[in-house]
Amino acid sequence: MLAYILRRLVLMIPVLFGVSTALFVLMRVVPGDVARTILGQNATPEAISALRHQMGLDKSIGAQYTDWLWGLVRGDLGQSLRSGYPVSTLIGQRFPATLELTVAAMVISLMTAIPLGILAAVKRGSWIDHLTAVIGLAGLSIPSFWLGTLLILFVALKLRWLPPFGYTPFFDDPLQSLRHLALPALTLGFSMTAVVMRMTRSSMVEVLGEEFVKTARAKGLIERRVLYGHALKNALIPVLTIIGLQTGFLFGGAVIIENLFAWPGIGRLTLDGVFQRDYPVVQGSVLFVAVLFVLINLVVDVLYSYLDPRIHYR
Amino acid sequence: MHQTDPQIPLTHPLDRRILLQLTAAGVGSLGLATLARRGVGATPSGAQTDETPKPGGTLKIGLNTDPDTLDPQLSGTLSAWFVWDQVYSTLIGYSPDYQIVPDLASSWQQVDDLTYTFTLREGVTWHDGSPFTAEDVKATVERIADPATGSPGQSRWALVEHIDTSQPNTVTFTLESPYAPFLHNLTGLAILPKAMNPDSLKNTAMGTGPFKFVEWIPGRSVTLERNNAYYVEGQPYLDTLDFRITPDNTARTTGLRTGELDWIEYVPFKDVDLLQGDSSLQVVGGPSSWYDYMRINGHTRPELQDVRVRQAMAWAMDRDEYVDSALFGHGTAMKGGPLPPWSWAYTGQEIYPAQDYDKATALLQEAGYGDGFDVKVIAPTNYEEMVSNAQIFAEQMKPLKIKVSVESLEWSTFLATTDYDLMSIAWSSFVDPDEYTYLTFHSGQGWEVTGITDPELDQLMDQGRTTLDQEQRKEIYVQVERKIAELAPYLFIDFHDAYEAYLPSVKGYAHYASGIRAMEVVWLDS
Repeated sequence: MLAYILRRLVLMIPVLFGVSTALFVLMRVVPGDVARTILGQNATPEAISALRHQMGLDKSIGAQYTDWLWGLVRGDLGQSLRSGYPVSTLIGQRFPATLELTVAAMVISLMTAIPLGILAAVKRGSWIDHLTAVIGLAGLSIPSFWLGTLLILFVALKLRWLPPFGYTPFFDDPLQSLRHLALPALTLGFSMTAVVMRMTRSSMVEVLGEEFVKTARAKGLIERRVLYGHALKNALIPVLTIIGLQTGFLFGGAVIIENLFAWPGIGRLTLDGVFQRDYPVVQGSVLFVAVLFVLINLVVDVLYSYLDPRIHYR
Repeated sequence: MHQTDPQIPLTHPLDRRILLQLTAAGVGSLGLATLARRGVGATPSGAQTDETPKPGGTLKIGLNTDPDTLDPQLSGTLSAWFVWDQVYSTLIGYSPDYQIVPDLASSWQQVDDLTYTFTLREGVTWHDGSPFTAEDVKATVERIADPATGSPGQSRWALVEHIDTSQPNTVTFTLESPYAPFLHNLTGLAILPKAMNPDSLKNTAMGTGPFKFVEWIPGRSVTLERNNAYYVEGQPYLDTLDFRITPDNTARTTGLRTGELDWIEYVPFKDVDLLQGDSSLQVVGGPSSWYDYMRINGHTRPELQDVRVRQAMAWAMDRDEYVDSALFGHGTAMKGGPLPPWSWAYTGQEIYPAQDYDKATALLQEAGYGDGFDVKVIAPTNYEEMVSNAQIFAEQMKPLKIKVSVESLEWSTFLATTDYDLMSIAWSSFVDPDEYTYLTFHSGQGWEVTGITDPELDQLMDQGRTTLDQEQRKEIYVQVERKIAELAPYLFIDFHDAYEAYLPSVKGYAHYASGIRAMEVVWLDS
């Protein structure tokens, strides 16, 4: 297993190299550049070339690419062309916010989705099954910006229970941090709940029809053991895949939610960078997210073998 | 916008609502070159009160976008300008009625047409405690005038020939030729310390202004604190300015209504009436420096190179419809040229007083285009109003059989597009009329991109720039404005209003059409 993990980690290198090359090329292919964007609609060609020179953008693309790669090898992601902050500092400032939001949304959705999904599968056709179907449909169809706006208007403005937006780092003031976290995490968690719950239900329904479940029941196991000891573990494999994917997406940033709740996450950092053509910021933040994505996939793969001992990695 | 947010003459176009969006997307760029700072001792007329200001407290400000950079000579966003304008001072500034008043210079004298001498205020210190000197002023102007700095405001300083600091506490500027906007330009030039480091200027700020820079956490907040050594006795009143970056319009409005924020700017037009109806809030506003227009590209279609065609389009526009639909009524139709109603140079002449299809059709037929033609208008997606303007324009051109296709582009792509026929965009103007006529309409100027120029207009603008008497200049600009409107390289649409909203505990704030935020006179009544 250890050898397998190590091999996967080594394999990350070509993957990330591919990602970084594609990123670099893509950012240069889109029209517009940072100097023109800074200088605006009335920029003179002279001012644009002066600024490009100052930012090192007048070097050949090849030279810029090798500079960037050489920086990466040394662990240097470069500096923002606009604010001058090191990209690693910017990511370091944003990542805790993204991590908090992602974990909170995950906890909310898993704590509701998995029990509800199991319940719906066990009591198929009952009112609870219908209820979860409605919740699932709502979670998938209600746009998060709309749900978020409603929560802001109702919970923050009308009831005044929670602040409408903002971010407090957890270790600065845990209580205030949680108050700020509640609405965005609920909004984000709700749509994830729907996805995970539906997957849990259908996977559970399928597994409950399997021979080994009949066998378990036939040998007189109590129902709870059948469900949790035998069925659930098997049903969770596809659920885990979905959770892994969703988590990866969340780490990439929930831009709409971040904007709505003024949440300083990775998504806004990346998007602002794209709009401003701040190449090092986009390259650095997307690469960072790519690393997380690959790592999460690895964790999911490893968890498979725990859930299903037949899966072995060598 | 001033682009991403600007002030006085910006390089950019934006309108408040647009700005908001821009901001939301993190994109605005303004040209900030001419942002002017208020002068010292300026008590806004709207803010006079019998109450004695109370010191102390933190003002929580909703900032629409993250600043792009804090370097005043490079930043392109309104949010960045708002922040650094509290930290830096200018030599001279504007009073609320746009008279030039002292700031770092206690007095000044125009020695002859080419020479200006400024006597500096004594005893002023930088936020690090070191003394402010004439060398700081010199270094600031030299930096912005250097093309290698890449400042959008560079051209305003190209005529400075020599800066003399040999007399103590005195700076003397010698210009190459008479240049009427010189003092005006100084009102927007943040004075930087000579010992500045270009890299740290980007993300920190150390000035002589009312507030000291404490911290900028990108994407989250900027914090400034009271400068106890500020040279205006007793000011500023507030201990702390807490800028919270809040990109979403709804969030900002809600933040104000829940007390999470004390003060917000660029209230979306659609929310102005709602907030004005809320008795627990104060809403102030009025004219701003932004105007909307269609820029014609004189390099693509032969039809657009014919002045009669451009005039026909100008006659076919119903400008009130743009104000009503795109601005929710919060603006003023531009029936003349680009001189704003609140500038001393405003002429009030109505060159295109009302939509007139008969005139328009006759002009088109005379030009031989009675059967119409096709044109492409580009508009930036992040400025909703500019897209609306393009769509209204397309509708209004239909009776002329001019088929307008609208293409919405993301901001950076929009800026890089050169094959457009017309561009729906905005610009900001400020007090001096040279600022928004010469650079954009004079042949051979860097901002002149339409290719539609006129020797007589050039000559008039040369005259306006080199004539130093304001009354004489005003007469010249009446002709300049008429000439521009008739030449029609731009089709002017409307001037925007702008609104700020705040809690009743906030006192002393006044709206400036130029977009200046004089936070040193604001105080909290808790």
